[in-house]
Parts: sequence; C-alpha cells; structure tokens
Amino acid sequence: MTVEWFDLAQRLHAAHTGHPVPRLIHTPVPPIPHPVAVRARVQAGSVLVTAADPTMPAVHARDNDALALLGDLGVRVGAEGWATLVTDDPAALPALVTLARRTDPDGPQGEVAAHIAWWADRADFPGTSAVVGLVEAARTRWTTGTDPDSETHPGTWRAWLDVPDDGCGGLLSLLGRVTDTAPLPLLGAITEDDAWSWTKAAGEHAEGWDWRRPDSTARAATGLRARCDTADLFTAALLGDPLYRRRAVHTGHVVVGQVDHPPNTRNRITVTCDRMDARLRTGNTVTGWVGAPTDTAPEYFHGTIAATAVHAGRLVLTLSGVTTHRPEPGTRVTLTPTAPSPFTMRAGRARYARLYTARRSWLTTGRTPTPARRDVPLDVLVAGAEDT
Amino acid sequence: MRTLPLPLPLPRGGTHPSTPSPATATTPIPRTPPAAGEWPGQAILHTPETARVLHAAWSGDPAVIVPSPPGSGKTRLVALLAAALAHRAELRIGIAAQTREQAVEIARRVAQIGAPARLMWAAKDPRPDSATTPAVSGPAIRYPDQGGGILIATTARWLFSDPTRVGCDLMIVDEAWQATYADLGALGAHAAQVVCVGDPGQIDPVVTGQTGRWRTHPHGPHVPAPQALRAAHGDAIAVVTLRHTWRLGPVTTALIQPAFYPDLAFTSRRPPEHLTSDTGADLPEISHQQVTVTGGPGDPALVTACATRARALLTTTLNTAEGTRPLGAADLAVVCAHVSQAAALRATLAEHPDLLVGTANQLQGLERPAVIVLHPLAGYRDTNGFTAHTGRACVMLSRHRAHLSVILDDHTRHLLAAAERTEPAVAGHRALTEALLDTPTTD
Repeated sequence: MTVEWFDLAQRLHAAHTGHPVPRLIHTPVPPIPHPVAVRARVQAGSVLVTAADPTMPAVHARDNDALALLGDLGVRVGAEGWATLVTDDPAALPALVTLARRTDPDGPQGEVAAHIAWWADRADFPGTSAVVGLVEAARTRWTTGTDPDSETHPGTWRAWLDVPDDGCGGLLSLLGRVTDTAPLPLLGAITEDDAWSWTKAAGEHAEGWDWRRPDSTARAATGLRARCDTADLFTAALLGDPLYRRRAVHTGHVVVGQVDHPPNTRNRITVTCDRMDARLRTGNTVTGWVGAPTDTAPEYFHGTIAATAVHAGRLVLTLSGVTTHRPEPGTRVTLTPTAPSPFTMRAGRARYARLYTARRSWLTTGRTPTPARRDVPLDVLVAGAEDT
Repeated sequence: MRTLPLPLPLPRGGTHPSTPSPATATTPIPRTPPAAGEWPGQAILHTPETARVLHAAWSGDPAVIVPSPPGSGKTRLVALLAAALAHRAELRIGIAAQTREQAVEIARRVAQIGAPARLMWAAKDPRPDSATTPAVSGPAIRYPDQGGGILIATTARWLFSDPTRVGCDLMIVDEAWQATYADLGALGAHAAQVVCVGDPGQIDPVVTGQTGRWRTHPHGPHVPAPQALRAAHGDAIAVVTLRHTWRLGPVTTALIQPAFYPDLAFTSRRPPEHLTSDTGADLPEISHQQVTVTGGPGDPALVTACATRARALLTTTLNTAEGTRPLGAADLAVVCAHVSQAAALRATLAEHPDLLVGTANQLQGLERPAVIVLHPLAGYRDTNGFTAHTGRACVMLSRHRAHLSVILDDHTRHLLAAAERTEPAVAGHRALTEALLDTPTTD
C-alpha cells in the first residue's frame, strides 16, 4: 500500500462515520498556560485586531489601541512569562508584525512590539508554545472526510470538531479540542527552548537591542541551526506516536521485518524487511523493539545500520552495535530512526555559536575582506596566465 | 580599507614559498612519492584554469569560487590544489566534504598523488578505505609541527572541531553548492581563506528548518554558500570557472548547459564513447521513451519500462578509447526521484546486484557509462515543488558518459503546457522536456 492509499482510506472512513479520524494519539501542541486568541488584518493602512483570552471576551481595537489591548492581555516582554498567540489565520501574525514595526521601540508599546517580534521568530519552530496555528495543528492530529484543500479553512475544522463559535472565543474552544490529550513526547524540550529564547529576547529588549535590525551573519546562522534542530526534533516527536508510526510504515520512515542472527556475530542482527522502500541508510542509528509499529514496547534495542542489501527481492538491513535486548531470530521487529537528543543538539548549537563568536575571520563577522598577498612562484603565475 | 582580522601566515620554517623545503611530519604518513623533480599536485599547472585557481589561492585571495559543470574534474582539482598548497606553499590546508563518502574519495585521491594528509574519522566507526591517507581520531587529529599539511573531514566534523587545535591557513570546500552560507561562516572560524569548488546546477543544501525569515535575503543563511558569498561581498570574491566537461558528450552538453547553467558556458571534451546494439548499430547519446501512466509516480508501468530498458542495455557493447567490451551491470545506473520508486526498481532488477539504482540525491557525484532516468514528473498531474526542482533533474541527466535513456510519462508535456508559465522551474522543465522529446525514440 502507498501512503496515498492509506490517507485516502482514512479520509473515506471519516466521511463514512462523520467523525474526524485521528492521525495521532497525542496532541502536537504543548501545554499552553497563557493563550491569547488573536485575529488581525490590515485594512486601508490600519491594522484591525480582535483578541481574547480565557478571562476576557473578544475585544476589537486598531493600531496603537490594538497594541495596548495586547499589552493588557499580557503580551509584553517585560511580563513574567510569555503569552501564546492562538490563531486560525496565517495572515494574523504578519499583520501584527506590520503593526509592531510602526511602533516606537522606546515608546509605551515597545514591550508589546518586542513580544510580537518574538512570536514572529518562534513561529518558525514547529511544536513551539509561542504560536499555535490551529488549522495546522488540527490537520496534524486528524483527517476529515472532506477534500484536503477544504482542511486549510478553519470553518471545516469548526464544523468537524463541533465548535460553533466562529469568533475569537471559538479559537480558544478549538484550542481546547486540539489539546485535550497528552502532548507528543519531546515537545517539552521545544518548550524549554522557547523559555530560553524568551529570556534572551527579554534581556535583549532590556539592553535596548532593536529587533527591527536585519540579522547579523552570526545571528542568522545560529537561527537557522536552531530551526533545523527543532524541525528534526518535531519529526522525531511525531515518530514517537504509535498512530503516526502506522502511517510512517507506508512512507519508509518506519520499517517492519524479521530478525536473523548472522553467523559468528554477537552484536549484529539482520532484518529482512516487509517492504523495499525503507529510508534507513548505512550509518543511521536506529531504535527497535519486538512487535508492531503501534506497540509501546517494554524494552528497546539500539544499533547502527551497517549495511543494506537486496536478497531475493527483499531488502535486508544489517544492524551493528546491538548490545542490549538483542531480539531472537525469527521475531518480528519494528525499526525507527533514533530520536535526536535535545541535550546533544543544544551542545551542538552552543559549539556552533562559539565558532561564530570566536570572530577569527571575515567569514564569521560577515565583513567584506581585502586580500593579504603572498608571493607566488613564477611557474604558477605563468601557467595561470596561459590562454585556455 | 578593511583588512583581514588576522594576517595570513608566512610559510612554516620561514622559507619563501618559491623555494620550498620538504614538509616534515612528526608521524610518518605512508605515501606514494611523486616522480623525481616533481612535487605533489604539480599536475594542477597542466591546464590554465586549474593553475589560476592555485594562483588565486596562493596569492591570498580571501575567497575563490570555482563553479564547475558536471564531470569537470572537481575532486581531482581539490586533491591537486590541496597537495600543491600544502607541499609547495607549505600551508595548512583543510578540506571540507559534504558527505563521508566524498571525504573518503578525496582522501583516496590525495593519497594517489602522494601528498601528506589525514582523514578525520570517528574512532567508533569502521575504518574507511582511504588508501594510504590514514583515518585518524582523537589526539592524532593535527597538522604536522612543521611545514604544510592536509586535514580532510566532512563539514559536520569540522564544525564539531576546536579551531584552536585544527585551525588552518586555507579551507577548501568541496561540493560547496551543497553547503549553506551559515555553515561556511562557521568554517570561517577555522580559516581566513576559503576555496569553494562545486556544481551550481545541482541540488541545493538540505535545510530542514523554516527559512521564511530570510526569504528576501540574497545571502540568507540557507542559501548555497558560493551564491551567498558573491551576493554579500561582490567583487571581493575571486571566481575561476571550469569550462569543460570530461564526462558528458556533446549532445548532453547541448541539452543541459542552456537548461541548467545559463551563466556557465562549458563544452564537452569527453573522448569518443558510445554503445552499440547487438545488431552493431550505434545507440544515440540520448534517447527517450514515453509511457502511459495512470497510477501516479508509483505506477508499475514506469518501473517496468525502466527495468525493460535496463535489460536491453545490458545486451549492448561499450566502445571507448580503451577498447570494446560488453556493458556490464556495474556500468549501468537507474536514477529516479523517489525512494519508493528506487525500492521498486531494486526489487525488479534484483538479478543484477551490481546495477546502481538510486534517487538523484544518492547518485549525486557518481557517474556510469550508461544511465536510465525516470523523469521526475512522471506520474504527476501537478508540478509540485519537489518534483519540479531543477537541481534534481540536472543531477539525473548528468550522470552518464556514453548513453542516457529517459523514461517519460506521455502526459508530462501536456501537464507542463497547462502549468503556470511564470514559474521558473516549470519553464525550465518545459524547455527541457521538449528537448528530450526531440531526441531519438528508444527502440
């Protein structure tokens, strides 16, 4: 079966039952202690904002008043913790950024603008607790019985999740539906990164740093590295969900097969795969368990793909370094890529940032260089000067 | 006037580069010595373009970019340049490859020309076949105390390393269009001078994170490093272009140069090479076959067509300057866009374990005498970003030396005709597909 057929079957089942079909057991949204539901749009040069939180019904405001409204809802970098932007419209955050850019950084709404800038930055991090795009979160968690394009419209989700309120209050109800179960494993690490980033943003604002300035070479590089790490972590988090793994069998990200022991080896196993389309490559580290992809195993084994080969039309993976819980020959196992360690990732980011802060060369600073010449032997000069 | 943060070093031992003394490693490295009177890497002077790269690097240009077409001898250039600068200019040279396989291949090539080098390698991993270049880890990762030297590693390994221990005079970045500007900047902590060698037409760096924040920045951190360098620093960056391909024949060059390298004119210098059928007829350099597809990119009709063509090509004869011999499975590759297609092809062609089957990403940097390409848009009824990526198509269509067979979906021409005309990738595919359909039909 291809993943396209798998998805179609889920969609048809949802249409048949009239209920959305879960793609995950967990929610892809971390715990949100301080949600602020916002809709915003630019109209005739003004930015119109509607905002609500669990303690206050929806209020409308525009431009500076809108910033003041958000400030009243706790959207300030000087606050004790961050507020989470909850929205169902991808245009809302760009509209808020437009508004924030118009604000005097040293003025009374500077703290609100800096918080919006932090939202804009963290929105690039999947699984963040800074910004929740409800449509995307719902699409990650469920499949509806409509066509895929309809799932990009918030109205579809309000209908399928039985949230009749289409106002800002309804956004909070929709958030409640999306987050009514345990979050994916590993999201906690992303929330910790949110907290670190929040503290940094607050500190920079206090020191007078202007978020409107273009990123320096170093800031852009470390920002990209952090984004890639989080994207990889979120992908691993999804693979930690049993229902997601069931689908991932059909994309080759999860592999099911039968174990054998190569002769004269103690730490190696071979896995003859059910399917040919495994994405595991030589050198990949894998985590496995005895049982099906949807099982939650009592014990896991780990190894590295040492070789891949096709024997009699079947893909055979050889795993090395299987030192504990080595499965017995004949057992059926599931293999997934080993999830990255958030600790290792943070250490890697710190090392990366140190390379930039070392400022050894024009490449790390981004300043345009000028040559510092060496003498070149005549034969090299002559050889390079010849016509092609 | 701006100056470099650190002065470029004098040659170790104080000797002038034009009168070099032999480099002395504290730990002897086994190697093949060059012929008497020669120095490792001397062949770099045999062609003016490569000599210009050496001149630019040796004379102190802070960055040299070497845009190169497929099959232009990039790996050879990297090895020769490193050897020449380490041995004759007595500089400490770092080489950053983008994959472990590429790093090992460079280590082999450097060993072949008898230059002292070490390959940084994780102690826990099996030793690679890096010829006489030793794979080292831990305290053995260092340059010789005197004279020049070469350290080879992946970019990821360099970024894991301490510049105070392994900092060098010049870093050569191989396949530099696969490195991001962010990573090149971090490599800058190791060296104040860089030489970026690569193919600008191929697949961009793999970036898993979102890059919208720098969407409008021509030198954003996600942009291929050489492209961003030129955007950021303009004329301060030296450019030496390689203008010949030794792999691609004239027909292929005429096909892919305008499609993928509008700013890089190059010509074919491949020696005559072709296939002949079992009836003795010469096969064209490129041929195509159209297939009716109803089941998407995984349609068995596509796999069957590729496999049938592979078996047919295995009955042909390869004619090169070295002689004539039957085309073997190891001479043939089948390249496709998707892992699932590659898996199906591997299973279908399992009777030929030496036949290389893979995706464009997997086959990047490799070549075979004959290649079968499953067109990246085959089976599709829309032109999504992945399949329309021109770099992927460029890789697929530039792996062969003597012959290329392309399997196309007979709907692709109509799909492209109906697609948004302003989309550059679609426009590129449209012209390319029309050109492919003008090639002879596969018998």
